[in-house]
Amino acid sequence: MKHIKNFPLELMFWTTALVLLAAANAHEHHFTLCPLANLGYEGWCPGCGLGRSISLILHGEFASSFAEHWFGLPALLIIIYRIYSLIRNNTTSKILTTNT
Amino acid sequence: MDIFQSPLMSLPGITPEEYAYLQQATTGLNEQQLRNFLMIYGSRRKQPSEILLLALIGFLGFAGIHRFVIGQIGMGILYFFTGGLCAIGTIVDVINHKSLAFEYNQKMVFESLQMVRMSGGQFQ
Repeated sequence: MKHIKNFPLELMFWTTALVLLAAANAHEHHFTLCPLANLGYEGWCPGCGLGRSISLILHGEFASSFAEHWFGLPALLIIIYRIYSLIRNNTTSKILTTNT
Repeated sequence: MDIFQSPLMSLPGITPEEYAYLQQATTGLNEQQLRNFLMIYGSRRKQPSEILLLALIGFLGFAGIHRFVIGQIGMGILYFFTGGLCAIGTIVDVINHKSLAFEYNQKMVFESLQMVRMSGGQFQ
């Protein structure tokens, strides 16, 4: 029970998201959870555009990634930084509070 | 020690996890220092319910406010301009609001302890 409670949900979420984006092909339609895309507004959804942009970076197509959305690279860096700080918090889960 | 007499219990919405963490962090403080610590920390900490409410605003179109509030500016911008990553990120954060609040509060415990120790018990 304790392990379930301490399960790093957010860490799993971001790493799964990046792995799925690295595996996805950005040039074709795929299964999606996005409510906007399922309603048929796929070309317009801001999240999907960023997803395609990040996916293209992970495949090494930087120019087309920038053309898809300029915020793709910053978004990828933000997510990687978040993963890094989550891992750091998990390994040193108890911040040392002894005398400074 | 009787749990209801502990001054830590005066913090609203305190979770067992946070209580245990605080007890560990405040060992070695004398009474005056503990009172100062509680005053500083109490004004800085965020309640999990507060984070939950701010995260829920994400479903109305203003996603990511909770991320700004706990000092994650980059994630806040990302959430705000993508509608909480197509609402999926918002759902994750609604489920996860307790750990988000606790993560922020741990930092505040650290900062408050430093302030108390720097003041050396003279802080009024």
